[in-house]
Parts: sequence; C-alpha cells; structure tokens
Amino acid sequence: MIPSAFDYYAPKTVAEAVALLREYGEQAKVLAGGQSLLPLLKLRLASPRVVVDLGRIADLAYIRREGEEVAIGAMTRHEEVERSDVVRQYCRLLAATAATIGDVQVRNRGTIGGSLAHADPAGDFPAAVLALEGRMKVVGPDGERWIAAEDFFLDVMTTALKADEILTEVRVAVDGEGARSAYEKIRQKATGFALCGVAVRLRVDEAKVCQDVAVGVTGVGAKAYRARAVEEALRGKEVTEAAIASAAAEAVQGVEPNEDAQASAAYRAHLARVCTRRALSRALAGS
Amino acid sequence: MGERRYVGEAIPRVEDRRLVTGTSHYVDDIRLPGMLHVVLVRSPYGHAEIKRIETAKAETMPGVVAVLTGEALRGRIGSIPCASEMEGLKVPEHPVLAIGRVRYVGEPVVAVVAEDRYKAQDAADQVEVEYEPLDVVVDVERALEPGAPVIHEGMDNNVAFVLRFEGGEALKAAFEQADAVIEQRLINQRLHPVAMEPRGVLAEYWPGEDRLTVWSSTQIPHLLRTQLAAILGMAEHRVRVIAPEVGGGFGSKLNVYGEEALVAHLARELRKPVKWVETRRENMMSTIHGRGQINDVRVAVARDGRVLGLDVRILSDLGAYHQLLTPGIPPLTGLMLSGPYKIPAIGYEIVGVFTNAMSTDAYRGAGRPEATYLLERVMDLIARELKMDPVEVRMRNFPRPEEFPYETATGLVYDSGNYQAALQKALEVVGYEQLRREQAERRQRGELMGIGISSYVEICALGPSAALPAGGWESATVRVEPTGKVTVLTGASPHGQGQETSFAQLVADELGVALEDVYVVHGDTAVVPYGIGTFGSRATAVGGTAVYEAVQMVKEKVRSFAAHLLGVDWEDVEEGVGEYRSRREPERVVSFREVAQAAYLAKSLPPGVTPGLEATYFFEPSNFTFPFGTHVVVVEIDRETGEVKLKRYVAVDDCGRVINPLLVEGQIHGGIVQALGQALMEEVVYDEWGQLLSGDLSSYAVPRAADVPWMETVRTETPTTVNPMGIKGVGEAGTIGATPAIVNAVIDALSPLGVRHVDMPLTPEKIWRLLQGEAGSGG
Amino acid sequence: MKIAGKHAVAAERQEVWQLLVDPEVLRRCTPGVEELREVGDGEYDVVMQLGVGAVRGRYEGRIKVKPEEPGTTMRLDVEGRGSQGIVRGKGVLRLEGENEGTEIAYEGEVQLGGPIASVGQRMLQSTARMLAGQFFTALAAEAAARQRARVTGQPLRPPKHGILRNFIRFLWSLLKRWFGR
Repeated sequence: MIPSAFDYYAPKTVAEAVALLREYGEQAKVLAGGQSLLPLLKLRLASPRVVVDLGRIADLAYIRREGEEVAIGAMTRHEEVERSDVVRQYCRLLAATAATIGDVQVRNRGTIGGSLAHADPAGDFPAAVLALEGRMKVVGPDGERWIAAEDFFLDVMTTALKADEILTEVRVAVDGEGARSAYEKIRQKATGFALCGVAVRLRVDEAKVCQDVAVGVTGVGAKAYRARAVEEALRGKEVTEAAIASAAAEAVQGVEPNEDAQASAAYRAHLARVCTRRALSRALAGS
Repeated sequence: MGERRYVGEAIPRVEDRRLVTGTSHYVDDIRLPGMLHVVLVRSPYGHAEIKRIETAKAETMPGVVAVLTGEALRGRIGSIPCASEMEGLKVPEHPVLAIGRVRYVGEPVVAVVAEDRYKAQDAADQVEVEYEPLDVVVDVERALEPGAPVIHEGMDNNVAFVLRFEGGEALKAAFEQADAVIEQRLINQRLHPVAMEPRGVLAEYWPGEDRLTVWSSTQIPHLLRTQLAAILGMAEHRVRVIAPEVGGGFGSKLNVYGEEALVAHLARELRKPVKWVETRRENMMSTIHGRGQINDVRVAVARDGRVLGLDVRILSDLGAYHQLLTPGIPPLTGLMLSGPYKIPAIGYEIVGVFTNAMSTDAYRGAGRPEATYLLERVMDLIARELKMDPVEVRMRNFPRPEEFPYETATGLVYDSGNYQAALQKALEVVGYEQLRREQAERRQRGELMGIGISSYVEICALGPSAALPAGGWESATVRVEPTGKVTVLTGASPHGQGQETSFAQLVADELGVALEDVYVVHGDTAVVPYGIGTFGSRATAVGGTAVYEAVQMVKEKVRSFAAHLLGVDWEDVEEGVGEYRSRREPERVVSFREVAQAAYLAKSLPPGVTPGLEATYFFEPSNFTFPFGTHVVVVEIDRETGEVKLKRYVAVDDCGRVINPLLVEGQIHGGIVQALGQALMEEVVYDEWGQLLSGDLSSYAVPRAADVPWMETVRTETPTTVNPMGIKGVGEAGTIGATPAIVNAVIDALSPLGVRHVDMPLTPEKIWRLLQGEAGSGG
Repeated sequence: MKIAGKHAVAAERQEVWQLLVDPEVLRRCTPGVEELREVGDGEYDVVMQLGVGAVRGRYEGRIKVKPEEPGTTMRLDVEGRGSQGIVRGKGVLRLEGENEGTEIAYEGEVQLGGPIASVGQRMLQSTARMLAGQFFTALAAEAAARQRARVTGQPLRPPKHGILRNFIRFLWSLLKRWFGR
C-alpha cells in the first residue's frame, strides 16, 4: 500500500501530455480516474518513473452529439456516461454498461478512456464499444489518428496505443431507427468486474428479420472480442428465441476462455453463451 | 432501580457520530513527534530454509534507521505466546522474526525501520533473502501421511495434539441399537476474518521513567500488557497498553502478535516512537484465519428420528504455529457437539495438525459454528434418510423447556431455553406450510427453490474462570464525579459492539441521570482496572454485570449521603429521577448533583462512610450462558448459472434480556452477513505450493450490501439465571445460526437432482457443475 | 495454472532443436530478457523484465533446459524472483514433424508466488499464453533468418524481437492458423 517514488506531472493540454510521454516513453504511465493504476502503484505492481495525470486537462470530459455519432471525452466518468441524457437518448448501451461498473465510488472516479486504454480483460466498456463498432481518437507526437474498436484491443491489457500516444475520445454511432441493445453481466463477486459480460446491439425489421447485429464479449478471453460467429448465425435470419439460442452457442467460437481461481474455462464459456442469449433476448424484447 | 428510561430502548449508538464523521482515532491516526515506521520483509515461500540474509544495501538507504533479522533478536525478546493448555500439546518455538526456516507465506523475516513508510518499503525491497525451498504441505490429511514434510524440526510428525472424549459403552450401544447410521464428511473451510481496520501498533518508551506505552488495535489490552511485559522482560506495571478506536476484530485481534512485541522492542531500543500498520495483503497473509476443520461424522438414529449417538472425528488445520488460542478453538466444537439436542451418547476425537499456512484461531463463533454446521447438516441428512420433515426431526430431539437446566453428554449445563418456541416462531413468521406447498408446485415446473432451517444453541458469556486460560471474569468501576457526571470504566474492551451506549443506558437508569451524563471509558490499562476483554459474546453478560454490580455499590453510598443530607434514616429516602426525597416530608429534596458534591467536599460525612463516590466490582460468572434460536432461509437457484438468490431470511434469536434492541439487531445482522460469506462466497485458498491465492480483496469475496437479503429479525426472551440481569449475549449468534440455514436451503433446492451434500462455499460454478450432473455427493 | 499450446515453425525439426539449445537464441527469443548467462550444462542465470500493461517487474532467476529425448522432447524449468514475488514455470516441449515444418507442442504449469500470487493470478494464464506466443514467434523468425541466410548465401543476421514486433508476428501466425486454409 506504499507506492514507489515517481515524478508527477499534471499537464494542462493534451499536447503537453504527449510531449511528456514522448520524453519518458515506457517509463511513464498515464493517470486518468486511477481506479486501476492507483491499486497497482500501491501494491508496487507498477512502479513507473513518471505519472502523467490527465485530470487537469480541461477539455477531455464531455459528451456531445457530433453528426451521426456521439463523442465522449476520455476523462468522462462512468457515472456521467450512465446519467447523460445524450447517451441515454442516442447510445443507450453505453449507459446500461456504465451502470454495472464496480460500485458508486468507482463510477464516480473511473473514466471511460481509462477503462478502454487499460484494456483489463474483464473491463465492461470494451464489450460495449466493440458492439457499437466505436472508434478511438488517439493523439501522439505526429498528430491524431483513429483506431476502430476492433483493432484497438490486442491482448491482455495490451492495446494498439503506442507508448507516446493518449486516447482522447471515443465515438460511437447514434442508435438508428429501431436500434435495440442490452448488456448482460455476471459479476465477479469480489471486484464487480465481469466474470462475463456481453453487449449486444440489434436491429430487426418488422418481420423480426435481423438487419444488423453486433456482439461484444468481455471477461472471457485475454481481451474483449466481437463474437462474429454469433452475429453470422443471426444476420438475415428471423430472430426467434430458438434462433437466439442456437446463435448464442457460438459465443466462444475461436476464443480460448480464461481459467483462474474465480472460474474455470468451461464455466466461463458457459456463462458467455448464457449471457449472449440473455442479452439478445432482452434486446429483442426491448425496443 | 430508578425509573427505566433507557434500558430496553432502541437508542442509536453514541459512538456513531465520531465513526461516521471520520473524527475518531484509530492507531494509524495517532502520530507522535519523531515517529519511525516499520516495514516487514515476509517470506514468499510456504516452507524454506533461510540460507542467507543480506541487509547491507538496505541499511545504507536514505532514512533507514535499523534493519533487524531473527538472529539479531534471538535472546533479546521472547517468543509469541500460546495460552492454551492441553495434555501432550506440542508448542513449537514461534519467534517474532523467523530464524533458520520459514513455515508459511507471509512469515516475517526482516524488519526495516525508517523515517517514513516509503523509505522503509524502499529499503525492504533491497533486502536480499536467499531461500532453499522445502517441500510444502497445506492439506491437513496429506500432512498426516507418513513421509509428509515435517514442519517443525525435532517433531516426528505434524500432529500438535490429539484430544479424545470417549463415548464409551453408551456410544457403542447407541450404534448397535440404531435403526440407521448416517455418515458424512463435513468441511468448514478456512476463512479470513477481514476486520475493516487491519492491525496496527505504535509504541513509545520513556527511558527516564522506564515507561512503555503501546497503542494496539486489540480486543484484549490487559492480557496483551501482561504478555508483552513477559516477552520484553519488563515489569508489567511499567507497560501501558491502549486500544484506541478498534475497527472490528471478530476474534482476529483476540491475540498477541509478533508485530506487537517487535514494535514495542524497537521503541525501547531506538528510544523513539515506532509505528507499524498492516496492509490489507499482510492482513490476509499473517493475521489469524478462522475455521479450517474437517469433520467426519457418524450418527446413530432411531426410526422416529431421535439421535441416539454421535461420533465425530475432527481434523483441525492449525497452520504453522500456535497463536494465542489456536489449539483451544477445536475443543469448543467438541464441547458443543450436543447443540440444541438431547443426544445421549457423544464421542469425539480431535487431531490438531500443523500445516504450512497462517495459524487458525478464534473467528466469530470460534468452534461453535463448526459444531452447529455439523449438527444442522446432520438433522437434514436424517430427515432425508427417514423421509421426515426437517422440522419434525428437530422437534423430536429438542429438550423440553422444563428439562432445563439441561446437562449434555459433553458435560455442559445449559442454563435455560425454549428451543421449540423459537423454531415455532420462525415457522410462523416465514409461513412454513405455505412455502412447502409453493416449493412443491415450483418443483413441478422444474424450478429450484429451497427452504433451510437451522436451530442452534451457543455457549456465551465466556465464562467461568476455571474454563478459560486467563480468567473469565470482568471488572467495572462506576465513579460519580463531584459534578454529578458519571464515569464508567470497563475491562471489557469493546471495539464496535456499542457498549459505550448500552452500559451508559444501564448506569443512567440505575442512577437516575441523563444518558449523556454517563461516559464509558475502556481500552487503556493505565485508566481501567485489569480486565479480560471483548470476545465470546461476553462483554454485556459478564462486563455488563460487573457494571451493574458496581453501580449497586455506588447507589448504596449515594443513598447514605442523601439520607445524611436530608437528615432522615436510610429507609426514609425515596429515589426519584436524579433526586432524593424524604418519604415523610416530600418537599425535602436533594439532587443527585448535591449528593455527589457532598461526597467529595466531605464537610460532613455520614457515620462510617468514607469520602468519594466510586466502586469497583469484579464479576465472576458461575456458568456460561446458552443463547439459542432458529433461522429459516428461502433460496432460489438460477438453473443456468448456478447463482443462489436469498429470497427470505427469518431469524429468531433468544439472547435473554436485552439492554438495547438496536444493538442486538445490529449484531444479528452483521453475524448473518458473515455467515452468508462463509456459506456462499469465502474461502482461503493456498495452492499446493503454499501460495496464498486469496490474499487480497480482489480474489477473496466478502459480502457487500447488494449481496445481503432483507432480514426479518424476531426475538424470544428467555432470561438466564447466571447473572442478575438475565443477559445471555449475542455477538456471535448470527454467524453461528445462519451458515447451516443457508447451506441447508441450497441443498434442499438441489435435492430433486439427488444432491445430498455440497461443501462450502456454494459458489455458482460449484452449483453449476452439480446441475451438469458432475460429482458432488449424490445418492 | 496449466497452460498448453502449439506453434508451427517453418524449419526442420533438427534445426528447431538446435535453436532451442542455443543460449544466444534463447536470450534473444525469451521475452523481456536483459541478461542470460550460462552457469552449467543447460542452466542459465537470467534477468528479465516481465509484465503486461501497467504491471511490470524485474525478476532474477534461473532457466534450466533439459533435453529428455534429444531432437524431440525437452524439459524447461524457469524460476524468477523479484520484489513483486516469484514466477515459476515448468513444462515440456515436444517437437513433431518432418522436413519443412515443425510443430512445437508445449504443456506446463505456471505459478506465481509471494505478493503477486493472488492479485496476479487472474491475468496469469493470458499473460503466459502471450509470452509463450512471443517466444515461439521469435523462434520462428530465427529459423526464417537462418533459412534466408542459407538460400541467399549472405551472412546470418539475427532478427530483432521487439515486444510489439513479436506481437504482430504472433498475431499474424494466429490469423494464418485460423484462417490460413
């Protein structure tokens, strides 16, 4: 519970922050809401030489509609995502997901950018952002670039962010006509992290034929992933409970489910199927 | 007694304001000028030889004052004590810092003292310890096998003790006459107590006065003082122990730890205040664990459900060393094996086994939850075997109310009880008949609903001194100050239970003063007369009785002064609230305050009466008390995920007379929540390499508010005859009663699948596997 | 925690074996190795920077490589200690295949000890798989470099194995495995 010494920087702009990262590279860690980094520091599991706190950068916490997208600043707290009218109106899945994260204290501190950039294999937001086919705005020394959610998460706590880049914004498409969604989660009892979490976005026509579907799964593998096989099984088909059940059976296709003291690989795989089915059913039942 | 204005009322705790506003003082909140900090280097191995310790680098780090090893301490301070006595008990040397060998992950090896905690930790990271790993044994049964690694040199095996209570011919006969014999292995897993405040110690030594002051987060300041004086080789009256605000203990601070001795020693040697505060990870590794028993049960039953005999083998996982009461806990299980039932013949054997793990010791309930769990599982197994209702089996075996005092086959005398009434009440409140009908319907639909019952009796108000290692009495001083304010000193050192409120209620009523005029002081050995402490649900029943007796003595003297001031005879004084009147001339009145002042000014003393208004009483109880009750739980199981949902929770508890029902309810609530943790979530996990996999709160799940059901609490009130107020005690009841109720409910829900028993914790995955038709003890 | 996996290396079995017993190759391919010193037959003292994401630590320890059946089966034993705790791994590598391609099947057990044991175990399996992936990807690159040197007659230029570079290679190999029909 006693961190090693580090130099603390609180830049006022993203450019200053990037300059610091450029200078210190792998020796620096970015601090957002601190819900993962601070415990790691206290346990000395992370001992960076430099901590770059994004908390003083004025324009990183916002939620606004930008054309056909909702743009959320990286420093936006989970609680703000959960309660935002813009989110609730245009991309409800994010609000539903935010509401399940940790507890009130965690949601008041933790940020969406921190959650995505930390890429905890059991984090909640990665599943939702994958299901919403979101994209990340990343700023580095050479300016900004956009990374699609699916290209962002590489492996356990490993993203496509370079050591001198900062995630500044995430964007997701505005819910279209008839968009339905749900986030279904089984909590790891001790932490509230997802033992399994499945985010679903679904659009069906009047005949209940699936026009569009995306499924993001977290907590199961080394990273959050798109359950493509589930999507394939539904796309263009009539979405019935039977169709959902058979599609959900594909939830861990091509993934090696994780095993640890909290759950075996077999149980995780099972939960992924159950949560996928429940999320799809709930999405279908909603409107 | 004066008019009752407070006793029996649900008065919010006077402690709460300072606690919820964060203005209270725990050990870590106390800072002394020039204070140094200790960080301990602990063993990362479960069992290893220490080949070499290199401290040179750490010693030269900035701000480092001292680096100490076990070798450096050898001969300078004593070992960590074990107070339990037993014939043939093996008590291995338990040094404050390991010497030569480490025997569990987290065992302290090197102490680093520096100007602040950061510098101390930085230096600790630079201490190099070379280990030669040895074979590890964490499983009790494997530890008993021939050829298992022997944890203590000089011992032939890992057996610390074997304690037998022979059932004799009676037990043999019971099994011969039995219509059915049921056998079952029942496991009480190891648990982390997880007090909200970890341990902490601060010590300061004044060489001129030869005076050592130790602040420690402890449940037993006086016993700690005696033990520390012995370990440090100091005269006891030179040592002062203060337990400031203590953030929970649950038995884990009913102990004497190496860190307490180490910090005190360092303060004395370095002549500076020294502090150590435990991290949560250290708390999980090296604060005592609870439970850790394997019970092999054989029970002889008659066709009508009566238990004829009980034969139990208890394997107790002691851990690597004895802490203060380690070997004393499993015998409590043996003692309580009759539970709330008339069992004519009981025999048991307890084998205490050393393993490469942290010591087990008292954890809320301490031995009694194990006995209750065992019996309540057995009652349900009997019901299943004989196709009887679990209620019926219990009713058949309870002693009748007129049979009290009831003597058990294990030699205890139960003071008072009406077990039928508590069970009946619980069934009424929960609507048992209706629930069973609902269950039958839902089973038809394939739903998994279960109803679990647990009737318990616990042994409380520990206890007669003859039965305890270091005295079972308690002390109290009641002092009326010259201004009429009242100070109560209690030797029971409460740490969250609320006796600052309940003792004030008691005294305020007795003396006819306002609640806020009574101040309860505890936890400072320089202020409070010698006492025993708070544990074993004893603080109110024993400590409260001492207060009651002391206040009676004060009242006598108050009356003498009142009579003297009124100029009337002793018998002619009429007590009012805060005032005394002449019976003959009611207009003649003296106030309580005037009496107090007169007692100290002492201008005119009643004949034969000394000045001052203070009394001290040491109360020795003649027996334990035996609170009891029945808990009923309704659960639903998610067939797909194996998750257990608690739908109803009804607790009927009888703890005798009650001073403050709010405090009683709080104790019941907290106890049930901890029991729920054991039943469904918690388990200390060491891997076969001796590594602690449940070593932090991200891997060890304790219940949170969202996991807790609505609890319907009801009381019956059967006073004890053991103390004048009829109080039995309640601190552990919830933990003892609730665990088997929850487990029984889950197993009842699973019984249509042929499930007969499942070991705790009943995690969703474990249940899911049973639902998949895997393993479990079916049939 | 048990781990197991298979990796394909486009080289003859004997050549892959030679790479596995070459300390230089081990030094270059083992993720995070800062120093590797041979201290005995098949025993190496090693200093490694191990970790994933923000969790990083320096470990000193020993790697033991014991050929059980030269050319086919090898036992590996790794133990490293740092201030975060102990990392321990034991396993068997089996080489299969003829001519062009060799498949390396590994199975073993990884354990964490000391302070990191409980908090780290949730990430252990994924991390071990990732590190194993990096190792075998690097090994495949070594084999490819040798082949290139043979074909072109140019002197051998050992490949560089940045963590990210390896990672991309590893992903690529996975993709090929999954979709490479």
